[in-house]
Amino acid sequence: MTDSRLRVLWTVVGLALTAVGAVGLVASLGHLAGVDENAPLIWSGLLRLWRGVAPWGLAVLGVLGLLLAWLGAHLLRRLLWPSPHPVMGDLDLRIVTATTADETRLPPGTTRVRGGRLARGLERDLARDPQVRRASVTLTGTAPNPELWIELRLGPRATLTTVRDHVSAAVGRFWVTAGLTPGRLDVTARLDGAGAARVR
Amino acid sequence: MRLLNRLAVLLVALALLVGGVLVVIEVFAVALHRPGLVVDHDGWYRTLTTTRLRDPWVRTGIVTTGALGLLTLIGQLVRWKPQRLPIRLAEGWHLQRRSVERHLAGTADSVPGVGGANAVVRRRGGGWRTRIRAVGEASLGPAVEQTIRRELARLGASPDDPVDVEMVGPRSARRTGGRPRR
Repeated sequence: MTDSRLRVLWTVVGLALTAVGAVGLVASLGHLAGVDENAPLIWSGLLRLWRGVAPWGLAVLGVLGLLLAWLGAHLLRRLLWPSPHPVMGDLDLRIVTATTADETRLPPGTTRVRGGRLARGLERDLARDPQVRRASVTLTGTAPNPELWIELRLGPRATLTTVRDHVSAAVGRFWVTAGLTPGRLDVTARLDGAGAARVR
Repeated sequence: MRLLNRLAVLLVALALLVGGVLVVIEVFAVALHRPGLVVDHDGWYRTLTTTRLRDPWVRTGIVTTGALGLLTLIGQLVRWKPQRLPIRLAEGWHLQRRSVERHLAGTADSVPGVGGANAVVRRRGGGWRTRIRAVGEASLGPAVEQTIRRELARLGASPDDPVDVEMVGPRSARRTGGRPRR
């Protein structure tokens, strides 16, 4: 679950809670038309309705409980196994070598390259520059137009223009050798090796 | 705020899961005329049919809910610190904000006679806005700014991006606990 989605979710929750608080306070003070502030929390009308629909009220409550549990499990799954950008799977070389649509359907022998192996290869190429202390690459989306996410850890004296040229060359080699065409390139660099200076 | 949002969703998800399962269990208990596993059915019934909407603790709960909602809303609507700063050198390139701030603070500290530097970098339009606060004589301000601008140019920032340098004298820094404050 991405930060922006969580932000939207909490904005909606915040709005709902504020509305409940505001309306509830007005009702509690006796200023809301149709609501008696002296009535109990489970008022007689609600009790009559519950007894009138018995035993279906219990069934509805049970379904509501199941829905809540499913919602909780769904949220947990989305939170603990985040996949905003599904990683590209194996690369079937027929996708990048076939020249006609018919060839992609021909079965005589299939060569597959692990998506993770392709990413590790690019990482090694990127780390050849001494200014790059560490490179991490993730390929997402689907072949032949995957998205490339690169994270770099740079030394404190790294010059961004030379790093950019090195990365562009490495990425160019990667696209050519893998036979893929770039869908998107996203690079995040972190400067390492700063002193003990304080940051707010 | 990003971490708080994540932790809060984790808590809410767990509460929904446990609460939902509990509701199902209690529904079965009522249907089979058994006592509740966790909820004292008779006790809850008595409380909920005798407590009024105007009772002080109900009102307190309502006000707390509203205040919590308002705080949540404000927390989401204020501008958050960016995690990444875009670089003008190439499309799709970013620098991690905290590492840039740490680096610039270290750069300001490297100027002789300057210490205890703080750096704050934010997005401004398509560029960056940099603020440096450091302990040292006010006359060192231009030297610090020049050093920071040189470093920013190396990092791919535009030379037109604003850089504010504020020098705090060692005496006033000591008065505020050895660290410059706003």
